[in-house]
Amino acid sequence: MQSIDFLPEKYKQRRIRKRVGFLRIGIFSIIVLCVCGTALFQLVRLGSLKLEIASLEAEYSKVTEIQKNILELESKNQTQINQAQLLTFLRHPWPSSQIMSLVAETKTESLYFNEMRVFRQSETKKKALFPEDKDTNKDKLPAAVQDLLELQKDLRGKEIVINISGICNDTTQLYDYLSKLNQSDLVHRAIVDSVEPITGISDIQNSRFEIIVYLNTDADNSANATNHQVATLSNAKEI
Amino acid sequence: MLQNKSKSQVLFLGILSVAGVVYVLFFLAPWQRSISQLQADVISKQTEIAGVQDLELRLMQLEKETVRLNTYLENWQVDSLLNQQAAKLFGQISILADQAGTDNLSLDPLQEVQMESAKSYPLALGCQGTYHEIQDFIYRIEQLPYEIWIEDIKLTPLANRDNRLQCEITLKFFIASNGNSD
Repeated sequence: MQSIDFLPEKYKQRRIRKRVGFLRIGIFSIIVLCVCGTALFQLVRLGSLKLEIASLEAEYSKVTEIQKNILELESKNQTQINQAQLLTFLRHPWPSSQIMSLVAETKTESLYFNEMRVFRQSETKKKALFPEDKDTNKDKLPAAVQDLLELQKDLRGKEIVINISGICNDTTQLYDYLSKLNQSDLVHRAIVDSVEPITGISDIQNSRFEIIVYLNTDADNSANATNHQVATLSNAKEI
Repeated sequence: MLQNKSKSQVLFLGILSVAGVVYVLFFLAPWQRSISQLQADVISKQTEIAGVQDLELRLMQLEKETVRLNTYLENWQVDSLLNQQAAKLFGQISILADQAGTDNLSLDPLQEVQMESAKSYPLALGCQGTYHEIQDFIYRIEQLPYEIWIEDIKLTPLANRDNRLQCEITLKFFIASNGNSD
């Protein structure tokens, strides 16, 4: 059977145009809807994030305040720690009265001292072990640190020495005395520098002697004491 | 007719494309960037807020440390406020020399040395006494609430005087310089 289309061509074309028009409007509407939806979603998201940030602001400002305080205190404490290190170093001089006590306690009656001197002496060997520091960045350091370094540099390579000269009537007593000195924790080594017999009128054989006692305390011990004490200080135990 | 139809289609597609590009460039992408930035901001703030307890703990530790440091430095700082400690120290040394039983005390202040944050005052000191009196004197000097370094001690017997010694001491004491800090 053959179908006969009675509609004129003009109507057919109009119908097709109408259909295409609807299709265009449909596509356009879908695109517009998508765009509006996305924009709306983005705006809502932006708004909610801003609200979230606003709600966090109070707590966050508290956090920033604490962080600011921490930074200020850290900086202030660092300055104080530098000063404390210097002070600790200054509080560790060599123990003069202990040294004098040691010299007197171990002395025997047969030894007579003409002169005794306790002083800090440069030690050439140690100086070679500690070459001069390069002070290129020293000026940039805090004042207390500069002072501490300067004092440590001054003491580096120096040792505390006791020079004793005198007379003894029994050299074995002198060596006993040296042996006792060497047993002390304060003493690094005690040596006889010279022993010379004195020719005199009496029958007793006197000898003139000179002894040198090198002590254990030195700049490194003080530096260690400084570091240890300040570390203890920072580690919250007790002063 | 057909030509008109294809022209309007091209125009429609063109307008759609331009609108799409404008939307992406001027709205979608900037807003998305803002969203990403705000999200990152929220996350970072939330992270920092979550760590507030650690921060408070650290602050407490620092405050305790400050108190300890202040206590430790108290005398040093007091010295820095009273910069004329030398005269006071000389007076105290004279009293200590009497208390220890030494006599003929001489005090000779030497040139002060200005350091970066401190000053050192060298002092040459002479006295006479027995060994134990001098030892006691030195012990008393060591107990003074100052940072004192005894640099040199020299003891020699006094002629014609039993057990009496001449003592020469070089010492220096340190004070903070005018409250100078770093």
